[in-house]
Amino acid sequence: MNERPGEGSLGGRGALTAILLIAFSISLVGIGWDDGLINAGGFRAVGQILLAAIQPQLTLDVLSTGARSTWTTLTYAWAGMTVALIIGMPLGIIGSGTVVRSSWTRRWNISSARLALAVFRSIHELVWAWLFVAALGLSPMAGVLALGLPYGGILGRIYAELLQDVPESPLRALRSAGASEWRVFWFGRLPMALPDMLSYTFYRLECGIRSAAILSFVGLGGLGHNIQISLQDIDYSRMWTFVYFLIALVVAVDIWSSLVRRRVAIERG
Amino acid sequence: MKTTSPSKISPAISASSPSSRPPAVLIDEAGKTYGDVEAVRPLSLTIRPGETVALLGPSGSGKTTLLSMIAGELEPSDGSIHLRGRNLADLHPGRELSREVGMIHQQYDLVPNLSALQNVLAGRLGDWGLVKSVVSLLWPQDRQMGLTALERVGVSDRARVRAGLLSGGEQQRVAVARLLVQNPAIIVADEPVSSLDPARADEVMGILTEAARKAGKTLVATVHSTDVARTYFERLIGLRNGAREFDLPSHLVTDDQLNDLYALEGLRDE
Ligand SMILES: Nc1ncnc2c1ncn2[C@@H]1O[C@H](COP(=O)(O)OP(=O)(O)OP(=O)(O)O)[C@@H](O)[C@H]1O
Ligand SMILES: [Mg+2]
Repeated sequence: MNERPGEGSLGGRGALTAILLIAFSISLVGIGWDDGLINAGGFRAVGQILLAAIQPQLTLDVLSTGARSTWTTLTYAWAGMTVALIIGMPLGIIGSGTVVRSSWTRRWNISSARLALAVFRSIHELVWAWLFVAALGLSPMAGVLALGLPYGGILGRIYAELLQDVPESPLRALRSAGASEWRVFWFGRLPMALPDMLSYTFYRLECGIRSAAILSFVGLGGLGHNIQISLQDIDYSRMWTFVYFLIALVVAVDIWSSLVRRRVAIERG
Repeated sequence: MKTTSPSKISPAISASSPSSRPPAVLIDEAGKTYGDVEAVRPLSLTIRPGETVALLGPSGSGKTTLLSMIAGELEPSDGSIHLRGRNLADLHPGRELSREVGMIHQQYDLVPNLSALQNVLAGRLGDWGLVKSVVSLLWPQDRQMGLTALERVGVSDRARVRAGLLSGGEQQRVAVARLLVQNPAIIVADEPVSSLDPARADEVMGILTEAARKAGKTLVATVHSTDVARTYFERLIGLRNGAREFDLPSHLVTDDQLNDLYALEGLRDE
């Protein structure tokens, strides 16, 4: 896909575009539009769904279910993030290779921690969910672990990089004041990386809430589960109530995160 | 690990210092080369305890290189350096070295999102255990010591402000306060005021030399302004192309010598 500069004249590129356009047109014709890819009733359904968006169901019953399942989803996301932090923090620190001086141990630490993190995050949370549901049954534990493992892998990797990318001169000053590597870590590296680590963790918490909602489709309860049931009942108004709960939850976390970040971040270097 | 046996003091050094106190800094034909570049040509130099010495010289003359070698941050290519009678190469990096010598850099060496007080207390990290260090992040330990140091440099009212929010002059004073808390015998400062405006530079230089003098510390600093050097330092050493041009008490250094030191190559009369 990358165009190497100088290669391929304008004419050549034009020809390529033409070929792609033709291929695209052929594929449009090739699709069997009448075979139910878009069913005729589809447009009506979309209309209904959009109409329902402005009239969500606000009965006490639905609202209390919404509140309860919002809580469930938040708990899943929260517990999952806790597991992710327990995995990501130590592995991230070790994987950053910043607290060990001896170069051989260091290299070994970095590669083993990074390998573990890579394994955790290369498998999607839904796949983890299947694995854990198969192993543990439909239990909250399965959901929490399914979320925590890949998120831990992602957090750890980002933490490792943020901890490495800290300006060197304050660290050098701490070392010359007699601080060992661990003290340099606590007094220099961590405080300097913390604002970015925090804001990334909050971003991940937001993603975690969405993932927790999706995981609840797997049958673990929560907002996603209720959205699914509403869809099965073709009750779009009720579905929208739950969707709005989900949106409100994400927005609330966003507001909270910006409040926390403002306290930790620094405006002027 | 502490070995302060007299056997460490080589005969050459004892001979060069007839008094009981060894020189604060003794440089014995130490030099530094980077490939073909002789950043500092081998030179010998003795600095008495409590002396205040300014290194002068044009850009690239080897001032930073020489200072870094004295501070133990850079190993000489040849020769040796002794601090208070002990070979620098034998000092354990970290705690032991930090007792002997501490360095102030030009700028940006505070941790920006820790408070001024915490930055000052970082001067204690060599003495603190790991637990105490971590606890100190939330509840600063040895608080009074830090506040006293901040008071000495005149910024105690900024103790709780994050270092990154302080002005350049205030940051440089906090760095001085940190060094006071670290309490090394020898203070080395590389252009500690070059990022400040002239008035602020004067003030911080005054604070630094005053603090050093009061505590009986040896101070070696590179300074850009010859006025500052003559005002605040007892002894001036001129470097050019990695070699010493002059080494005199500051009141004996003439304007001609200074002009010559900074003159462009080819414009020098000699
Ligand atoms: N790490 C290095 N690698 C190669 N050459 C270096 C290195 N550090 C310094 N030099 C060279 O050594 C010489 C002396 O450098 P040094 O930094 O000591 O000069 P300086 O007197 O401090 O200059 P300035 O006033 O500009 O700070 C210069 O020619 C420089 O290019
Ligand atoms: Mg320099």
